[in-house]
Amino acid sequence: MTLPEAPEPHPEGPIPAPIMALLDGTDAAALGEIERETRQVADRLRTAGRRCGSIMPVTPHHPEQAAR
Amino acid sequence: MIDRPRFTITTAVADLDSGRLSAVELAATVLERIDRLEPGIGAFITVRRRDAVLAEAAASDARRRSGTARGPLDGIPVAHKDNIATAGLRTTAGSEVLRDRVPQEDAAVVARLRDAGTVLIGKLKNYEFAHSAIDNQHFGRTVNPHDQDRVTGGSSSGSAAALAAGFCLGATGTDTGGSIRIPASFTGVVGLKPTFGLVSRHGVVPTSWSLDTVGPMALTAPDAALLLAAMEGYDERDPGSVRGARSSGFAPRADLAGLRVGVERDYFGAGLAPDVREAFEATLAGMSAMGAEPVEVSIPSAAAGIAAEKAIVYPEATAIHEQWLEEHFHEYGSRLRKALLTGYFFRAVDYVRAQQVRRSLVGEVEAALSRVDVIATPATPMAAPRSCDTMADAAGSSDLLHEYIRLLVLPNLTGHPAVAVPCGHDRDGLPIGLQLIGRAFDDGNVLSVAHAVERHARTNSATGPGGRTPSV
Repeated sequence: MTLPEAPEPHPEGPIPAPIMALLDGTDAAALGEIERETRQVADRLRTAGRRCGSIMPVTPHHPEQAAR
Repeated sequence: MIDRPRFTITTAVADLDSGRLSAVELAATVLERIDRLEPGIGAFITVRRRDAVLAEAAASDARRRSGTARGPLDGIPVAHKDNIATAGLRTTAGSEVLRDRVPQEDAAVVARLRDAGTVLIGKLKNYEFAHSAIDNQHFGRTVNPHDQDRVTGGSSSGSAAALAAGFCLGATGTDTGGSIRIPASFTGVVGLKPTFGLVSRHGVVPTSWSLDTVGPMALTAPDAALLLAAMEGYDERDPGSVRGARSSGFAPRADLAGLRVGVERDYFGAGLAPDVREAFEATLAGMSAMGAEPVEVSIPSAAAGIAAEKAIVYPEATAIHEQWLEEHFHEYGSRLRKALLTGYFFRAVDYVRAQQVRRSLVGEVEAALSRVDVIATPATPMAAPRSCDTMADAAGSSDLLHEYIRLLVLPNLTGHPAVAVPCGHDRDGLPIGLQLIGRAFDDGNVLSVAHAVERHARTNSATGPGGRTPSV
């Protein structure tokens, strides 16, 4: 039996192709900086999140509201 | 130099009730100021035609004469942030994308304030789609009435500048991460981010569904309370609206006896400009002199709040704008385009972790507020920065914009009410703001305490609350 070939890595980054096609040089040049900044935020949340419990069971985000 | 605003809502109501002033005279007063001063400030995107404004004011006068006035706000000139829909009046949200949009229906808060008899003056400039940025790339800069070289802050920049310049007596703003409280602090006016769910967001162009709030801005806390009373209440058209929601009532206090004021110093006391620190400590001392008891409180996760805010706001904003981005990409300002592209780089797991942090913060703030009545912090770590410094920040050379929101995002994440109220001035005479965070739906009490603070500031200032005389 021949196993199916592994799929090619997805060629797109996080930005959808229709929007990627609209970027001008300034937008494109900013992507590296955006990626670095979001990783910094994500790292911060990874550390902070370890001390936290679950997320809200529903959208309301204070006890009085959830109780109503 | 310009003269200080002549009226607050409270003083105008007294004059209207006594017959010393008519709504038409009041409207004419603000229109004269707009004619004279608006070209140097840039608070408005749209000013209504003079005849339309005066006709509304005349109708108010007729109601008052016939004993059918709709309440204390009848005849009071107000203006709305331009991301809040006004039927028949252009509502751009400060963006080229919506430059010609004329809504068919009023937003809920516009309808409520119209039903209360207010006179609509026009639509106020905001940062594009109410995102934190530096002024508006499409409609131009809003000058801080206290110093033309200083920023007004945003995103509700026009609302704050218009109040400080006397172009209206009440205004609406929206606050997702400080957008009411930043400009209020920088211009010496009062701005309330209400409890999440208290004021309907129906008809407001969203910035972040789970963080957006709509609130009142005014020259004084009692004025903000009058506006809030008209704006609040359940609305089934807003999925975040809370059934039966009413805030605690506003009640002027002769003193602050029995009030417990929470103070957190690890996060909210760090990195303050010396003048802000001095004004904050002087305000705490003043509150103590009025009978309040300062209590040290702890909010251990406070420093993670700004990361959580970013990981929630950016993805939600990108989801909101994705279709418009595909259709109008180059009509967005370059700075907002960058912000909206940022939303794609956060992963689902980042958004979930932000929600974990958010829930922890709710618990920590609730625990603090079980021991105290309000938590006091500086509103911003500095007075209004120079415009040239914020432009340097736009080029990535400093973290000034981060500093704007650093002390303010917590109540957005937790849903609690928070007001920015003037509490002093820096060495250049610029306003310094205090933030008071209260229990959920205790908005009226938060404003009552804010009123005591502004009275204290007035007593201890040569120029009174609102800072030095606006000077553009």
